[in-house]
Amino acid sequence: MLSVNILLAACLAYVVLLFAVAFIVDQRTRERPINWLHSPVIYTLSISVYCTSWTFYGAVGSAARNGLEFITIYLGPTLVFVGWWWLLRKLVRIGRAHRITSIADLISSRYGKSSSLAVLVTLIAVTATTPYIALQLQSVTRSYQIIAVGADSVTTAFWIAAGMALFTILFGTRNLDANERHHGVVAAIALEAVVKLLALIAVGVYATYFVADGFADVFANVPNEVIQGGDDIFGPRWIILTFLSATAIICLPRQFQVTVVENIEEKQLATASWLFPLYLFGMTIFIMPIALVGLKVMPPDANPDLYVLTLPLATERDELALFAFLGGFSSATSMVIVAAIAVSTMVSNHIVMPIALRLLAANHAVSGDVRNLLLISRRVSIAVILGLGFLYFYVSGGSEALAAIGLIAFVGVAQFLPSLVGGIFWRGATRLGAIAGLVAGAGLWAYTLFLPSFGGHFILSSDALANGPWGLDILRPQALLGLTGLDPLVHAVIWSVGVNALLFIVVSCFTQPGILERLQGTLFVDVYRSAGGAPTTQTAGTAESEDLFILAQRILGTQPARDLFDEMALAQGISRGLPHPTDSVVARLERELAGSIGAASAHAMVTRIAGGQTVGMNELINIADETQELIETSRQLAEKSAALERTARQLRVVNERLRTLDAQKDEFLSQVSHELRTPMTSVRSFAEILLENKDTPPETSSRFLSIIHDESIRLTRLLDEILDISILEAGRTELILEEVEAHIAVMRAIDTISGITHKAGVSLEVTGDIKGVKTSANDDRLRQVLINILSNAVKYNASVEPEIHVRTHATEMFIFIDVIDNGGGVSREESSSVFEKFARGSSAGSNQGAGLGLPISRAIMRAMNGDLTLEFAKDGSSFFRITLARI
Amino acid sequence: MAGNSDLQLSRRKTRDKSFALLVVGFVLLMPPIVRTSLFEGHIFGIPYTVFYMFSVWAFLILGAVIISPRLRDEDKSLQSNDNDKASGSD
Repeated sequence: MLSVNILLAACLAYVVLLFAVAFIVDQRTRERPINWLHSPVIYTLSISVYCTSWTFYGAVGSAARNGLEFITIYLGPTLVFVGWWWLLRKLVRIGRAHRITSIADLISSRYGKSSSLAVLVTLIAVTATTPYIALQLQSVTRSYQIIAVGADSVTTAFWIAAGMALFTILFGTRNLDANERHHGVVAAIALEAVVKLLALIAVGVYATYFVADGFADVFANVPNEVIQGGDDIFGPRWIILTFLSATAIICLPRQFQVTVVENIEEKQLATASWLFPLYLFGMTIFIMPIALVGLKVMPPDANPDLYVLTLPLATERDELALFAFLGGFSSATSMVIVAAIAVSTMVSNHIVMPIALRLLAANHAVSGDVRNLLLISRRVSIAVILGLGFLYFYVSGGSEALAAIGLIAFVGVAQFLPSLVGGIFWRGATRLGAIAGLVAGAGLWAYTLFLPSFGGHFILSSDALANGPWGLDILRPQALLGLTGLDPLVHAVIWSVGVNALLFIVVSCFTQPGILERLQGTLFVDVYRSAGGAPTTQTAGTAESEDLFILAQRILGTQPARDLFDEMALAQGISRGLPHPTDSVVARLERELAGSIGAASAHAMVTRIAGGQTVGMNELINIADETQELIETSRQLAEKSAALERTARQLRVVNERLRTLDAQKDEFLSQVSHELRTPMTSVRSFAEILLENKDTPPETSSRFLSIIHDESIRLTRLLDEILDISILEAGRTELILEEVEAHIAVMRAIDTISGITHKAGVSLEVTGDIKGVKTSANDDRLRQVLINILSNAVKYNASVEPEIHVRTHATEMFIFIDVIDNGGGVSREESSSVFEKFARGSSAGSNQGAGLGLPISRAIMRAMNGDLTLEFAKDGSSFFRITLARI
Repeated sequence: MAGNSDLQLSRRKTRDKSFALLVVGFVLLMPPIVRTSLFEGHIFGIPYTVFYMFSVWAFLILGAVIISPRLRDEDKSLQSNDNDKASGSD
């Protein structure tokens, strides 16, 4: 048999180890951050504080009594963690952005930093945590009594409670961390998590493979009723238990502490999403075998809640029993430590601080050190909470099965769920709704579950339990309003959580949120949109920097406050002295303080110094609420649609131009084919005549041949012109420009056409003096244009005494060559079409060319940086003007 | 732009998968579907009901192992606020 002395020595050694780990890690992190502490594995192990001695001992007891039902307690958390993206991530994000210190802090911050809500949540948390702590004391006491037979349970429980309080005070309240993290404690908790897992697995492996002969043997001849727990296992209780455990993993103050407050990086959560369910899987895989083996091997009067310990003891495996005891001890201590830290933080921040604030406000002269006060209040709170746990243990007599006590706590914290989840997803949730829901829910929980758990020894007598208070049957705590036939737990959950949620929703719908409440609600619901802890709206700057600094000093400590203010001053460009008390400074300070004392207290303190009204009408405008967001969104939409409209308009214009060009191209093609067709037809017909009539007189055939020859030349010229214009218009050819004297070019062109002019009897006159004026042009091409224009003037001149007047003049920039004739010119109607391809003057004869001369000429002029235009004189007569750039 | 929207699409897909996993797990573990495990018989010597429960559990864990690492947040600004803590304590 394991001796008490060895057990105590082992326990002592284990506790010393825990102290050492916590101490060393705490010391180290003070110097520099320890990397492995940030690992997701440590984070997950600290979350496993969920597995208390209730899991370690109680799950086996539950499995022995109710079969597989125990597994629901682990399925709920598994579902929550697998679905971390939807709830846990948001909680963690909000917790980090707003420096949340506890679940009470979160709920009170969400509803406008309400201190009444914070107090309410704290009170519920304390009440719900008390039975849970009692449960731990009870299980450690009982397991101790197994070995130290005859030890007094009350004395044992007292010393255990005292020891745990000491450890928690030493490591949980060493400092007021900037964001309420306890690295030393987390490291110790992680170690405990490993110990309890290994211990339970060791006992499981022992039971399965050494006492029994593998899984098949364990389950052989086990009636289905044992596994399925007799009645319908998958009834309402199954659903309610899963719901409760899922709720507990979020709402239990200690779970909130390790999951949200102690979270360092969001990616820790991604890993924990599978690692934590895996841990639970490992913890529970041997629960059923241990229970079944225990039922087979152990005497019928043995308590199944202690099989984990008694099984190795009964089979003379002392070292395993010792390990199992340490495992149970680990699970109990880790829970108590974290729960006490979490709840004491709430108590000191939300109950002690506001009272202290009142006192300070009453007496300005008192320069009390708030920091010390906080630490002391936390230490006292821890002692009080453990004391309450001990008291519960003492009053309830510690007679019940472990699972029942744990579930009481679960239902208690489940009251936070509506306000918590509603608060972070529903903008419309209001403070009054949350208060109404919480008060009603907590009241119903106390009445239907918590008070009955004392079995008639506390407030409610056993008579009142059985028949209702004052004999009112309808008020029976476990059959409220005659709702009978339900499991007491299901009954309590339906009443408390149901009424809570209902009141929360209904009251929220019928009440108006305050300004700060609306702001906080928006910040919480839209936490992914607002980066970080957006500054809260603040007062008109009535705060004195000195006052703010004194406040910061009192709470953060002298050096951290100094650092903070130096940093803020530097940000304002002040190298020495205090920063100006701008809104952002006040908001930053409030956020920093919230990390130590909770949002509500920080807000109250800063407001007291900054003075007066916190949010005015002007600030209201800045509140990023729904309306503002909608306006912003619709403005962006309007901008976008305007941009789209512009683009569409441009596209329409471009499209129109493309269509016109396409039509022109078609027109051009049909013109070209028409123009080519005419000479081709005559060539073909004359050639046919020659072929068919061999006896054509030689002079006729030679005439025909000369027509064919002429037409071929015309064809060739036409094709040349088409080619020319397509090249010029596509800009595929670069004309080689040289220095040309405009006057010489004109005179040479006139010389060239002198044959035609002479023949047509046209008199040609050149006026103006541009001798020596130079331009940059291609000599040949310029001549081509001049000849074209001049010959047109000759060709289309229907006057009896045709005259052509070439008028030249030069300005600083340009040289103008006007070709004026008395042939009637071009009418205004025709003016727009003269430069179109295949257009010919109305007065032109039939065989006058393809109508490509002018378009080609203009293309040439434009390629030489000049132009060819049709101008109208004052008397309405038209003339062509060649413009050249002067150099 | 195309790459960005592809990325968003794949992120959404991952999120959908994660949600689907949650729904499947919930449906399999809650009545009425869970009643299908009330079936007498053993698999590898383990009663069917027990085997069913732990298999669904293992499936959920496996699903989370595969999906969770891909659910990282795109917003890096809040990935770690430990830096300001470190600088604050120096």
